[in-house]
This record gives sequence, structure tokens and C-alpha cells, in this order.
Amino acid sequence: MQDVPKIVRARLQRPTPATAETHPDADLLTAFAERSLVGGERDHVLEHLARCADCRDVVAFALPATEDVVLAKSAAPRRGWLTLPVLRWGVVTAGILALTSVGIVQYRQRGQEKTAVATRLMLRDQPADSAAQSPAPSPQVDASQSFTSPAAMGKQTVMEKRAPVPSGAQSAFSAGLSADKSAPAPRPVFPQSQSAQRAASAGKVHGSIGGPVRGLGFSSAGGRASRRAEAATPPGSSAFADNSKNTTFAIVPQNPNFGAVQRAPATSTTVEVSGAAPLVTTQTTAQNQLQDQLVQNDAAGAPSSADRVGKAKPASPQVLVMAPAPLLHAEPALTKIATAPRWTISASGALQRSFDGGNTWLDVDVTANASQSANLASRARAGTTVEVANSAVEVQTENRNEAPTEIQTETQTAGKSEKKTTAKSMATSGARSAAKSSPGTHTIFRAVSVSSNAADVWAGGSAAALYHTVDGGNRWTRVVPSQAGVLLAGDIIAIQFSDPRNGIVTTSTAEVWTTVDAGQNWHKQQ
Amino acid sequence: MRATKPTSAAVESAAADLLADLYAKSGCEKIGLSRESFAAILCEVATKYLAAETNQSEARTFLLTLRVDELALARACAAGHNAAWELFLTRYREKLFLSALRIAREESASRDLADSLYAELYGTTTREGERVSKLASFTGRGSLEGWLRTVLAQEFVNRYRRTKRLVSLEEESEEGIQFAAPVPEPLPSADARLESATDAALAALDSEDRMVLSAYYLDGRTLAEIARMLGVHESTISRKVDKLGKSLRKKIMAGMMQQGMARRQAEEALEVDVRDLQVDIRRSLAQDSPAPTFLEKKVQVRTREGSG
Repeated sequence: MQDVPKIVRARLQRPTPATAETHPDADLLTAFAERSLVGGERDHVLEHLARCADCRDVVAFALPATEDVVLAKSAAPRRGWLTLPVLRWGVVTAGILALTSVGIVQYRQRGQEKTAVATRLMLRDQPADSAAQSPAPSPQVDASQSFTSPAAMGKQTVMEKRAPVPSGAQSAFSAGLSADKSAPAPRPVFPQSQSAQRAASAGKVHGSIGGPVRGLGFSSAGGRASRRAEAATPPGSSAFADNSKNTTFAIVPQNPNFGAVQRAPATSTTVEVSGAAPLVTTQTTAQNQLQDQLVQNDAAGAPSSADRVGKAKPASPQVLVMAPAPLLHAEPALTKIATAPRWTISASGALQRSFDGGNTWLDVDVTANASQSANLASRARAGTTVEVANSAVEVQTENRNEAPTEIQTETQTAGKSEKKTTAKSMATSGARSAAKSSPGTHTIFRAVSVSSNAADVWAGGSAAALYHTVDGGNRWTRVVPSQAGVLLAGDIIAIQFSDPRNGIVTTSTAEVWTTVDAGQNWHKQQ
Repeated sequence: MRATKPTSAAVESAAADLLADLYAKSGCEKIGLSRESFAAILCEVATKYLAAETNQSEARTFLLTLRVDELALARACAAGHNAAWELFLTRYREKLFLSALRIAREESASRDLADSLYAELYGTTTREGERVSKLASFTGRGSLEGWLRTVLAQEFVNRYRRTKRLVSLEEESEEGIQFAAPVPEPLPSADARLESATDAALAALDSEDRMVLSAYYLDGRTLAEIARMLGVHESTISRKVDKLGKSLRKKIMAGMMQQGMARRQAEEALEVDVRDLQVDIRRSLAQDSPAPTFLEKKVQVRTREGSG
């Protein structure tokens, strides 16, 4: 605060004749303090106060109590969640948490790539469980046993023993087994027997067996390789440790004549085995191999998993011959697996979804879980009717041919189906009309839109069919845009959702419907 | 304090006009105040504060701003109506004591203060055989509670002034007064040009600014207190004080320079502590007549030589 010159104080203090004048009475001072004086009276009192220290004192003493101010101050800390110290420490804490979680995620990813992929795939496909029941071979089993087992089939990483090659395929293969066994050892979180079992059961993680030895930099320098092999060898496999001397690691794809071990030229296979090796493509390769060449083995687990994958494309020949190529090729595939599913519409107008970046496409039946979204429909606001196309509940993509008959039977047995009653109970008058106009049977999809939130997908097609999912396609809701009783008509030919809330739907009748609240309310543009 | 001015016709007609409304609003019936006496009170108050030439609409506006309910209560108490006293005591007794405590900041003194006010409110003094209650001077311009606080504060200030003069000899020796420096003579006037420039600068300020300056620099009030006195925010006062300090300095400087002082001289004069002037060191050290320059000395020598 700037100080005034001393002379100012002195002159202010100087007694003025005005002090001698009569003081304002208590009423005026009170009114002044309560700000109920106006105009000249206030100026008069102010002028007196400027000169009269006594009256200033009186006004100051007569100020009302400041309890309210004190109360406000004491109450302040209670509401102070957003005060500076809290925010400051909150930011620090959040930063530490973020770093920690990133570290944990990294660690887990590095350690459990196999599990991650296997789990993801198993979650998607329940049949994986049945495959998981297949017995996993012990690493100690002899070569012939493991050769026939699915686990052995899955292994693409084979360690070839260079010097003692003449000793035969069996020994070479056992070395390969040992390599498999030793490979997971550096990972404390992944017991080798478990990993072997998963590898065998899921049949999809063959490549990943090479994961742990990522960056080892296999080379023809036998001594170096052996040193690393020893380091990677768990205590339990001392036998292998003896054998591993003067060995060279060679990454070779699984070969039809696996028993006759390929001799990999030492110089040509300076390869980094990537931890991301478990790829869908390689896996399908392996399974194709299973189907094609291992007749004795395709009885139980392998075929089922092949079915599950469905339209697995035949592996390309290069994949079989050149190991590094599929590995490198597989890297982006894995990242796609980790990301959201892709959506497309087939030539026949079926909505399709791919989890593996477009290699395999599965038809998605938007009406499959429609009954579950009935409660969603009941929550719909006035003016918007969200209707479930209940009549198509039974339609499955695989047996689409049977769908019409099923629908017929269901409509004929009126009221018997509990799904039907559910639909009836929730059907509003507007919704009912929408249900009548709904195609019910076979929707030809013409547009699909994935908003910025990948789980939020809109699909639309013939006869004003518009479906919405917020969980990546597991559960669909039929949406019937309406405004003031006018329903969307025609075929939907374009859907644009810039974000989960804002979207534009264009129909074949040149109607444009917009929503700004994720489809709760629609506005028809003229 | 009774109105001595004759009631103007405008005030009377306005009071008569509003009487029914205000009478109902004031709740006079409950406290035993008659309609006629209430009308008289209204006229008295309006006459006291309004100029004689006030027209009817101004009088009307004035009357509507009055706190008639509290005015009626106070006047009913002054007139000695028991119902009014009961109401008054229930409403204000506690508040009065708390206010006194806050002003005096000490229990016994505050009790003393409050009791003496009660005596005055009840009316210990008599005039022409009638008890005169202090409440009879309440006019309803502000709230009754605020008025009571103001009256308490006035009483406290008066006492403080009184007791400050009456200091016992013991206290005086305890405080070491006898060893204190003698009361200083009236401050020697600083440079007349400085004074006049300062006065001019202060006179140019409006009364509110001067009041803020006085309260802050002379009374030592806090910014918050001044803000509450004026009913503005503390930061407003803070800015105002800051701005006033700067502008005053600038204006005084300008005034002094206008009166023919050099800038440096004016700055020095401004920085001089008035209390320092009393010691007069500066004056004794300063050379009023500048020392003769070398040339002048030479001339002096030459003249001497010439004469010699």
C-alpha cells in the first residue's frame, strides 16, 4: 500500500472549524451506515465524517457484528475441494497413478502377451473352452508324443541343434521342445506349463512362444547363442542346458515333415523373434496345417477351433516357408486385434463385424438380442419411439434361411412367446405403428456408422431400419426417428455420427434426420 | 429532541395522506399508540429532516422510507406503554448487550455501557416534570437496532474521551508519563508552498475520498472496516487508497512546481517528515545562502588586494 506523504497526514489531522459544528444525530449516522441516506444528506454526513474523527469512530463502532463474515470464512474450507493445494496434490497423485498404471500395463503386456491374446479370443468365442480341455503335453514328453499333440503343432519356433544334427530328428526336436520350455522361463508371471497349455488349447498363440526370447539376436556365433540359452534355461531343465552348447537358434515355421528337421543355415537366420508373434494369421496357418497334414490329430480340439474362426483364409505359402515374413506381417494384425472391431456391410446387405482387422468377417444379427433392449424402449422419451423388432428375435446369421419360418410361427402363436408379451407390454401407440412398419424379417443394411466412441455403432438399411448399439454390437436397439408424429420413412442410405451424440441420417426419400442427443430426439430437416 | 420548526402544509397533507397505510404497517394498535399521536410523530420527523419548502411528493417519498414499525415501537416505549416495552426488551435487550460488548471489548465495561444506555432509554432525566426517554429522539431513518448501536458507540466515544483526560497519578507513573518527552510545541509549519499545495490537493478530493484517507491514515481503521462503513467491497477501498496516495503525491508535486519550486526541491520538501522539521537539523545543515563560488572569492580577494 502506497504511503501518503507525511504532510498529507498532518494537514488531514489539522483541526478544522467544521469539527465544531454539530454532529449528525444518531439517526443520520445509523441511516448513513445502513446506506439509507441519499443525495445531499449523505454528502453532508460524509463531509462531516471526513473531518470529524469522533463520528468516524462512532460509525465504525456501530458497525453490525461480523458473525456472518466469520461464518462464511469458517464454512469456506468445507466446500474447498477445488482449492489450490488440493488441486496441486491431486495433480501430483494423478501423475504418479498414471505412471504406475502405465508401468503395470507395460509389464503385463510384455509378460502376458500370450494370455492376453488367448483370453481375448476366448472371450469372443466360447468354444475355446472346449479346446482348452485338450490335454497339454508335458515338456518332458518324447518327441513323437509331442509331435502329435496340438501343442507341438502350434509351436513354430524350433531350435535346431546344429552340431549334433546327425543324431537325428528326434534329438533335434527335443531340443526344440527344450527351447519351448526354456523360452517362457524369464517371465515370472507366466509358468511354463500354463503357457504350454494355453498355447495348445487356444491354438492361436504359437508364434508367441518366441516372445520371451525377443531381442536375443540369434546368430551363428554358437558360443554367444549358447550363453544366452543357458541364461534362459530354467533350473528344471538342466538336461537341455547341456545340449544347448554350440547350438544355433533358427526360427523355422512348422513344417509338414516336421520329423525331418530342417537344417537352418546359421547365417541366414539372424532373426529377432518378436514377442508380438502370436497372430491370427500365423494361427490360421497352423490350423490349416493341422487340418491339411495332421490327419490323426484333427479329431477333437483343432477342428472345433477352426470352426470357431470360421472363414479363416488359407495360409499363404510364404507363411509356411518363411518364418520372418509372417511374423512381420502379423505385427499390425495384433494391433488391430487390440483395437476396436471393424464394421462393414456385405454385398448381400448383411452387417458384418471383424475383430481381426478385416481378415475374417462375421455377420452380426442386430435383432438377436433385441428383446433385451425392451426396457430401453420403455425409457424412450415422448416424441421418440424406440422399438424393438421383436419378430426377428430368432434370426441368426448362420441359419438365415430358416428365419422366415420361425417368424411365421411366432406371429401365429400369438402371445405365447414371452418375448412377444414383453414387446407388447412396452409398445406404445407410436411404437406399435413403428413395429408394424418395421421390416422384421430381413433387413438389407445400407449404411453403418461408427462414431468416435468405437463401441457406439449405428446401422441402417431398408424400410427405415435403424439400429444402434453402445457396446460394440452385443446388444442392439431399434431406433425409429420421429418428429411430431412423423416417422422416418424410406431406406436409410447414409448415417453419419461425428460423435456418440450428434448424428445425421439420410434416407432414400431424401429426408435428413438429425439428432444431438444420441438418438433420443430427432429433428427432420426439410 | 423535539421539532421546533413549524410543520409545513405539504408535510401535513402527505402525512395525512399516508397515515392509514403507515399506521397499519407500523402495528401501532398492538403497542398502544393512538392514530393521532402517530400522525404527530410522522409530522415531527418529517419536519425535522425536510426543508420548509419541500413539496408534497418529496414529503411522501420521505415518509415512505421511514421504518414506521420501529419508529412506533420506540415512541410507544418513550410514552411509557408497557406492551411496547415488553416487545422492545424481548427484541433488543440481548442485542444491545452484545453490541456493547463488541464496542467496549470487555465485560464489565460493556455492562456498564449497556446499563447506562438503558437508563437513558427509560428516561432518568426529566423535563417539565416528564420523563424524557432517549427513545423519543429516534426518528426511524435507520433501523432501531442500528440506532441503538450508534447511541452506544457515541456514549462509548464520549466516555473514552472523558476517561482519557482523567488519568490517575498512579497510572501516570506506571506508564512512565513523567519521563515522557514534554508535549511538543505545535508543529512548525513546513514550507508554506508545500502546505498550500497539499491543502489544494486535499480540497480537490471529494468528501468520501477524504473520509477514506482520514479513516485509514489517521484512525488506523482497516480496509475492511472502512469498506463496511461505506458499504463497498474491501478491494474497492484498497484500490482507492492506493490511487489516492499516488494522485495526491503527484498533485502536490505539481502544485509546488507551479509555485516556482524546482522538481528536486519539491521532491525533497515532500519527503520531509514534518516531525523532522522540529529538530531542525535539516535547516541547520542546509546552507541558506549558497557558499561563494570560486570566482566570487577571487573577486573578493582582488578587491581586498586593490584596497590594500
